[in-house]
Amino acid sequence: MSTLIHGEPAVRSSRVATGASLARLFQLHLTSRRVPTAAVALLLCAPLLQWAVRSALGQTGIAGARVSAEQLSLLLEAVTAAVVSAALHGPFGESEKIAGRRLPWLRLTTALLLTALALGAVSLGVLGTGQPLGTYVVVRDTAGLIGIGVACTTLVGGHFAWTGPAAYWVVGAYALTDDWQTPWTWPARPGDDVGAAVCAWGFLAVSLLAITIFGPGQRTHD
Amino acid sequence: MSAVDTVPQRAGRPDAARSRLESIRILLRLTLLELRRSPMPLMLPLVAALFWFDALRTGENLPAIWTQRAAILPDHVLPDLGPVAAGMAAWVGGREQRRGIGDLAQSTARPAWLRRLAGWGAATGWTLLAYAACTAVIYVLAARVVNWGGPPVWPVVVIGLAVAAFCTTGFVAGAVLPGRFTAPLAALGTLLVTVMIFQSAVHAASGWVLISPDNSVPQLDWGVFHPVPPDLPIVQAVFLLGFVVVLLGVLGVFSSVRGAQLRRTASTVLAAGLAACVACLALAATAVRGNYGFDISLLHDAASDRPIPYTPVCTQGSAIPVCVHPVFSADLAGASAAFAPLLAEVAGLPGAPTRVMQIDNADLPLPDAGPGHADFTRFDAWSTLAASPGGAPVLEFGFGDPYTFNMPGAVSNLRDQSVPLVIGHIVAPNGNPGPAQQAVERALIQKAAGAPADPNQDPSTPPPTAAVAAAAQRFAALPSAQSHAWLVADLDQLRSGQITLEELP
Repeated sequence: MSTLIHGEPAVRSSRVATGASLARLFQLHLTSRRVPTAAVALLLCAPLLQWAVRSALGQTGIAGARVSAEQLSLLLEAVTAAVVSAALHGPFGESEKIAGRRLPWLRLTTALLLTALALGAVSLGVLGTGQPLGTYVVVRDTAGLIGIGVACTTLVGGHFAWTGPAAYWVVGAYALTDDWQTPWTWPARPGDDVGAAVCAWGFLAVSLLAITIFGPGQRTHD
Repeated sequence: MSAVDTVPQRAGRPDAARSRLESIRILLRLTLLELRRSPMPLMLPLVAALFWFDALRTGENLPAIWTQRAAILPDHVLPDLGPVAAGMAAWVGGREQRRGIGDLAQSTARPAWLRRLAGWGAATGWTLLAYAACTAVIYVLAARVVNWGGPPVWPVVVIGLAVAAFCTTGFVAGAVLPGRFTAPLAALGTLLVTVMIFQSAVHAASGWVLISPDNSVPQLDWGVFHPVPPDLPIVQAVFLLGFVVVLLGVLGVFSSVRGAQLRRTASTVLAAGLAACVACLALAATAVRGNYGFDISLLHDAASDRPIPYTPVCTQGSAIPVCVHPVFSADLAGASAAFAPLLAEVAGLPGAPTRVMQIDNADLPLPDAGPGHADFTRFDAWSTLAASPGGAPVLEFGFGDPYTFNMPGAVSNLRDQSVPLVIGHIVAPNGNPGPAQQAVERALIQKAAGAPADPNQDPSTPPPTAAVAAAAQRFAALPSAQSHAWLVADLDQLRSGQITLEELP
């Protein structure tokens, strides 16, 4: 009866309660995915990337220093992608899928948050290093690698999702050495290559959509 | 008298030894069980794909030389297989904690270290099986194309131990720090360390970084003319073995928190491994890049530097044969074509080389500076005139690029460098050529090299006078048969300075 009389404050209070519960839900979801640990790992990649690229480019007068810097940069981008894809693993399996109707949105938000963190970390990592391909290319390559990692999480689960970025690093390193032209090996393409951008960002978008809808694969048990 | 008293004791086998044998038998049974249940085979399709994409495709394009083909193991197989094995082993190592059976497993009769050693043995066993398959494929394919020498064993041993070290690193990381990020960080972290060390080691002439099994791209003729010294591979193998022992010791220390005896054993193992690692690092720090591989003075056996005997492959039917090492028989046609214009001009003349012979690139006296040094650095090919044991001159050459004779620039460089050397030796063997000798030299160089002699090539040589240049043009314009016949008849007089510019045909 009091809600009928004092309708507006009650609705506001209900909204606040809903907002608080959503925030709590999101926080619990992040905790269950070990996002704080993932965030620390991602942020640690920034100084590591700075050091790796600087040390590679610091080898003056040595042929291959540029490619070496690009390969090291790609490797640390693969590390960030592997961390993001491992963090998206769901520890509760089927029971979580049937219990939470907001789960797809939680997954998408978590994936977007981790992707943003990873892209920020690599941007910081190459800032001022003189990375030959430039900051945008590093961000684009990382986006593509995260796409591969997230796709692997959807297909085989978070435990083995790192195999995707790791395997793609081998392909990318090969492409960088041999200067491959296909946009599918985007790490070897310059920043103004539209095909490479479409492949990398497209892969990320499709993978994020897939993890949102289907969730992480449950082939392995936590 | 109890039943126990009536059981006769087995002679010659004390209880302690029997107990030890029983422990080993149990460990083997556990390991076999782990081998059957291990998830490591899940990595095999990925490893096979990476192996095909990276190692095999690269290997197909390498020269048909055992040392070159064996270099696929550290440069490609190790980065393809090692990190994947480390990641998978980390996942295997964290199994007890991941499944929440740590407390349950603690209640079993066997110590945790032994239990984990069985898991590690299975993971390493599967990894080494994959490595053995990769090595077998590479060596079988190499054996089909390499026509001389035998497969090197040290790279197989060292990389096998390196792969085991990757796997052990991952396993111990998984056991000590279980978590969802351990496997990816173990896989990509070990790869990062490998790439970083390779980057430092590949151009290093000395230093501890050479301890890395993936430390260099071998020179083209390493292991062809002289054996590759085993100094560094021995140190690398012992280091990697020590590293695995250190990691197993760490595993023991972490696994045996409740057993003082086991913890002491684990600490001893850890200390022994550490001692081996430190000793090997100290030895590797003294390694230097020698002519035929890496030398460590404390381990180096000078006898291992003796040349490997071989029968050269030579051109048939030519007045001056061109010879190469049988490994480079595919380059014989290219080498013969490179020297053909020169040999056509000088064949039959006194002082001409009796043959053209490939030698170890490292044995060539290379210029330390100047344009010659720059040319050698650019093309990695050089030649020199030497005397055979009988005293006859021999034109020796070497090259370090497998595509030397397919590159017009490199062939032209080799020709431009050898032609003045040989012609100068024929026309003015004592140096200080007179005007007529200068003119003939210039004419022959122009004919043999296919271009006028470049007066700027050797800064110590003064530019020719107009009279010398004119006489050279006149001599060069003669048909080859005529100029050759004149040289056969009058070379002695030309050498002794009895012929003037005007007397040149």
